[in-house]
Amino acid sequence: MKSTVTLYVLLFFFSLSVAVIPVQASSCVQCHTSDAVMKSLYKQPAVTAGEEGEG
Amino acid sequence: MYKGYLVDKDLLKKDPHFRMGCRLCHKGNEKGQGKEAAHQGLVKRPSDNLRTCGMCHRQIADNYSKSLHYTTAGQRNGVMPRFSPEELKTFDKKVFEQSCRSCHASCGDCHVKSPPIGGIGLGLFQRHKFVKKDESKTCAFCHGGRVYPEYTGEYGGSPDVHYQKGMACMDCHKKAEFHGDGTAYATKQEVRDRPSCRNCHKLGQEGKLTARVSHKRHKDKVSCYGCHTATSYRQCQDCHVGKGATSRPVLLLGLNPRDRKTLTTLRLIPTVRETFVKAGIKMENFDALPNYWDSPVHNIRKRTERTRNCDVCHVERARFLDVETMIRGGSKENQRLIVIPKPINR
Repeated sequence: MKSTVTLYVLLFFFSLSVAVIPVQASSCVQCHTSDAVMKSLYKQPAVTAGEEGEG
Repeated sequence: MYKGYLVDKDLLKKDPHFRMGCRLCHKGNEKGQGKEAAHQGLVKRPSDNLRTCGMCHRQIADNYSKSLHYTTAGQRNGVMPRFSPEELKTFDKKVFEQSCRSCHASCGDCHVKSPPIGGIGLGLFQRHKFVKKDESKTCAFCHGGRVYPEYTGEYGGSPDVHYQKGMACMDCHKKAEFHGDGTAYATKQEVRDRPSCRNCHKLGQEGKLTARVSHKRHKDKVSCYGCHTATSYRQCQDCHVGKGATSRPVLLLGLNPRDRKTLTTLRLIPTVRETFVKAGIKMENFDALPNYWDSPVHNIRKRTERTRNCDVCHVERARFLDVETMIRGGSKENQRLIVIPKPINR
């Protein structure tokens, strides 16, 4: 009986920990994993002339 | 290119780097709705602060803080002899810290996202995967002006034989060269365990007698590059003058300015007398250094015009630095790099 209670308590805390993983709820993830959203938000960078890799 | 900002959703579950959420490194506001709100306080390049990666990779971050890729000390120390003590102070303040130092590579530049060059970047490598190495991006982005295109043959001529055999940068350059070994070197020449041709190609073990004899005769007189650099390589001019750079392909042979006794391939250093005038630096000791440095050209072939025929150097003096091919208005030291090869007794 005691071990069953312990198991339920552990399971409860485990489910809590899964629920609060920041990555899952993050708005960063929602946008940055969506091809359509990123395409709509993208702005062309200004290209500066005359530079290239060194060395 | 918007794809450069896309993150692989599956990675978030697999890679422990993401376990603590985006905020751990990027700050910002994860609960913010919309781009502006979510990006408030965002740190675009978290690894610019080495403590970010150092939270877990402490030893590597400590070493890296002293490595030349991070300190860029080689750039400063390379030009330093041209300055008076007062000029050096001005250089440090107005040029080095504000310009040269901005070129340092952060951990992320090699392992996460290619740095933008001229405003253009490929963005995240493999959708924010933390890659161990990906030389065509990690090395070639910064070293894509000269070294990498010479190596692959994209600059013209033939590719380096090592590239053709499938070797990439890290087959010769070891990890400690990039991460550092804990020593704050002043220049790359001081770095321990730099690549050397002789690590693989041992003297006396050549297959052909002619090669054995030739290597023995030229030992300590000519560098490997001196004979085995195959094609012309990029010589940049007029950079740092503010008018944009021009470059042209030239293979140039002369004395190594670092030892004044070994014939090697030379590369033009685009620092001219007026380079730092805008910063108020005249370079009082401009003539202390030549305009050419020895260059480990990454375009090696077993057979070149110089390995095929002794006369190319000893009679024709083909591609040797001389007064006519020298940069105009350059340093007086340039003349000391001119070599006249001895005639061959036949």
